[in-house]
Amino acid sequence: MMIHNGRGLTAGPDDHDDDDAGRDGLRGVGWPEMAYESIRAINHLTNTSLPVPAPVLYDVLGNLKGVGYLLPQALVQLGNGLERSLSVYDVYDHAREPRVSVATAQRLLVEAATKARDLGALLEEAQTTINSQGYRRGNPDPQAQP
Amino acid sequence: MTTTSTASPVWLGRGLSPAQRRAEVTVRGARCVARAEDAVAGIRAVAEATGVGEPMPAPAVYDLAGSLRRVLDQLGAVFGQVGEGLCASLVAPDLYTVYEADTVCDPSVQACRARTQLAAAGRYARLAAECLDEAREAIAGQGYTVAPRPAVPADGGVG
Repeated sequence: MMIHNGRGLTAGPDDHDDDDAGRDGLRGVGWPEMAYESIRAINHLTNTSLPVPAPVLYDVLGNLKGVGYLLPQALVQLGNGLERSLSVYDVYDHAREPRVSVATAQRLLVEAATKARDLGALLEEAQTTINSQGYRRGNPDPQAQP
Repeated sequence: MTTTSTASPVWLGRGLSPAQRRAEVTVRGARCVARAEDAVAGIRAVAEATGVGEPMPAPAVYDLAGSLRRVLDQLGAVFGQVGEGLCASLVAPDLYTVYEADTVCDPSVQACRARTQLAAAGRYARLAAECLDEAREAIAGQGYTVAPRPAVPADGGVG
């Protein structure tokens, strides 16, 4: 397992903590797994009839749009690392010439990176769309409203 | 006789007062923001780790691309949901009243526009995930053995 800053890159534990267990539940999982579990938690937290006010969404998107910049970088680098592996390891391929498989995968990783970049741009646009929206506390007693 | 219920909407099997719902929205919102920070930290670490110029053999790329694919799957689902949540915030007068600081804009128009943009972001997440699936498929049959080191002469290369 590849390790970076104390966490793995390619594997995580099989058992997952409950979404409401808090950020401590992420202790010991790999980096991609941490990202996955965090987004899964957002999924769980927003999967209710409760509203998501614009200022909250603005902050969430402010963080998540980072995925649109960092993921493309990671995906392109992944393809480059894969290509480098051909000259370092004795690579075999059951399907075709290893170099052909790597070139195909590299092209698809770049394509995925482009899509992720577009995703990030859309999140930024959505953030701009709601940036002047706010809210005041509603009156809990409807009869008191004018 | 027809009666109209005045009870608070039931949520998770319990009727919550507006104040309780408002508190729940605040707590959940703060958690979402914190989790979004964690998510980006995870992806940033992947970007850093893959950026050091090390070779990445196919099995490792296969696994990592699989993990990132799952991230994209979840993202696709989140965008749709938060877009709906944003629109729901417009029709919760017992909780709060939404306003636009930019008086030219209409809150509901802006919310609908954001929902559309988020839905499109979700589609891109799914498209990126499909590309990762295909990339994994391309290298699924690939493996490696560590290349043998150059033979060292019997005298250890001295003399």
